[in-house]
Amino acid sequence: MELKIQNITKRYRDKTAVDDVSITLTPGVWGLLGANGAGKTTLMRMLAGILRPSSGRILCDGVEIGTLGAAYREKLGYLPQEFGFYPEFTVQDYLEYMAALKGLPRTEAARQIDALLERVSLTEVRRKKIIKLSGGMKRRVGIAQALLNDPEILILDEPTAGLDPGERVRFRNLLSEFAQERIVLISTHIVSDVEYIAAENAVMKAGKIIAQDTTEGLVKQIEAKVWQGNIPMEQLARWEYRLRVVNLRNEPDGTVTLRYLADAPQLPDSVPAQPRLEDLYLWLFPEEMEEAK
Amino acid sequence: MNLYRLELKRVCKTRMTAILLAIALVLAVVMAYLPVTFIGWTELDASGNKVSYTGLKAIRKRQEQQVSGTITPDVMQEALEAYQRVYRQYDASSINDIPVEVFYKELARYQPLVNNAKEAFADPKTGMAPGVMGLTAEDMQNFYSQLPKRLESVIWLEQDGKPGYEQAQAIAQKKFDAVQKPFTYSFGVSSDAMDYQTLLSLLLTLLCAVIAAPVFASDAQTGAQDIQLCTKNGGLRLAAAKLAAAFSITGAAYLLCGVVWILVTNALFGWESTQTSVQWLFSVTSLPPYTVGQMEWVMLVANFLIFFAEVAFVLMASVWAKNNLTALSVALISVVAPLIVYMVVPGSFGEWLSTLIPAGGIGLSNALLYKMISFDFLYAGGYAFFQADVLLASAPIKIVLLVGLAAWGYLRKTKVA
Repeated sequence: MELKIQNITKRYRDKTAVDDVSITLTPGVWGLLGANGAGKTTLMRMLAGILRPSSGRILCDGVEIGTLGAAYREKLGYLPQEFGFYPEFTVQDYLEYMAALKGLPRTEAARQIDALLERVSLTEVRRKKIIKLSGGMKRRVGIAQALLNDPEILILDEPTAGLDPGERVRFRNLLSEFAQERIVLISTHIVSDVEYIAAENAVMKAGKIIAQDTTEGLVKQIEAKVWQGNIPMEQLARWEYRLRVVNLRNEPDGTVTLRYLADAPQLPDSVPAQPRLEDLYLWLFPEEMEEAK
Repeated sequence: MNLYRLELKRVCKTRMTAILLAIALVLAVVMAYLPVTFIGWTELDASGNKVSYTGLKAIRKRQEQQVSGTITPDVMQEALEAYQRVYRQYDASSINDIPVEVFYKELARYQPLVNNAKEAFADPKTGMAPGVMGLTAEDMQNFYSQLPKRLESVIWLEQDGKPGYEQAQAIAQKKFDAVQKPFTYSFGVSSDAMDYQTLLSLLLTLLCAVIAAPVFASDAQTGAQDIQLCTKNGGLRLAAAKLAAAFSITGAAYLLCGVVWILVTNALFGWESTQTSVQWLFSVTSLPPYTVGQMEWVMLVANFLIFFAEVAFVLMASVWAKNNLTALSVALISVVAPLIVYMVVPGSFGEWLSTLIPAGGIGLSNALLYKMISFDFLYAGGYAFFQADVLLASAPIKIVLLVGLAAWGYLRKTKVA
């Protein structure tokens, strides 16, 4: 199984959302990282076959997905960022509806629905109307529908939005199990969601893929750029303004330990820190830190 | 089939659908009952006081004294003689000169007969009807042979000078030949009731347009469509299931309400009156060859065809709309469009337009019923077409065309990659 994206571009009237992107997705979990507006959703919609590229091709095992048509859609599971459901439907009704759309026979659909509801911990609320569920539960219903046909290609756009930490852990484990021999592409700007489960990551910025590698490979790019140093509390405001601070921690002695990004140590007695994917993300998207400031 | 069942379940579970269907059913009963309240009866009681009734009691009073059955020339003559006797007795020049209780006691039973006789013998050049005293027993004996002449003069008055006029005359005469004569009559279902059947059809179309408008548009608005389009059956099969479910629900609602209206109307007015020739209700030269009872069912089926064409248009608009508001606005405007075009766009173009747009035949004064009982012709290339025929013939074509456009519009969304 291979999903090859060849020179895909999507232009709108006044904006190029995806700009000449080429990447080959192979089985495993892929993390698609990028700030809001980087072009992740547009790329995913094109991969899902619901948005026509301005140019370029998407090939599934060498055949254009448009040519494959229903055969491609049969392999696909998709959870969009905005998960539209029918408010009048219960969880059970909705999954039955989606199973019919995915062409599952009724007995097989019933079996899969039972199993999936168990896996996403929604068995108790299967008779509840979706509109009455919490945001996290609704998201889990969305994840369940995406997994319904046991898809070979799973595209999840911001799947963890609204999930609490426990749900996020369960979701990650679920995907890790699921990704055997399948392509799972997860777009997110919550780096920790993919840090430990993604075999490969692609980082998008301004419609382009600016980096692609394993988590370890990507993190290598910022080796010796992540530092940790300790300062008195009264100096915090000054250093926070001058440095790209990833994290700060108040110490019991009244000082503050800063984790920051820089080409060279800036604080006295700084020591190198073990870089993480989140550091890379903030290194590549300094504007996110500026917004935080 | 499973997808159709689930889509049916989905639409039926929508609260809005349930509310609208309940309203439709209540409307059917109300629309059947209201015309009953228009019927009146006045008589003198044992003490000589005037007593007036309306509604069901008035209907029963009238039916007790009615002229019923086949209206032969002899019955027509009997009616005229009764009128002329009373007119002479009160030296009356119009019905207003007759005391109301006398009218109800002596003349009410003959009123439709004499009114139609006056219409049949109207001046062919001016259309002015003669007075009661201007009619003769001989006229009454010639009542049925006079009708084709009256029809010819009506067509001449309304259509003369139009290209295709001769053909219009021929079409009208041919249709009128098919009307069974002598007419039959029994007091009951009124023209008001038939008006209310038309009004009910308009209201049901509006309600069902509201049900059908979000069928596709709400999925586009909420993003549900994005998921559907990525599924194996999310293309033509889903489109077909959604179209079939929408047609099933709106169609069933329309037919159920239509049948309820007919049953309640006939039960209230009396089943015997369904044997009345429609010519007694509207015009002595009306072209439909039906009794009132037949006409009720014909109107139900004919309006249903037009209703389906309009639902097909609403579903097509729903496919193309990106949100509910747009779909709903287009749907509601399209239902009243024939009425607006009929009132605003003049001439032959306006007539064709109001006929050929999807909801053509739905409305008030422009509705199919009035096109069937009047003499409205459409003209093109020197040919005349009876407008009601065009409305009915074009409805199946509209349905096929609009359903095709809806399916095509939906399929376009699945073929983006």
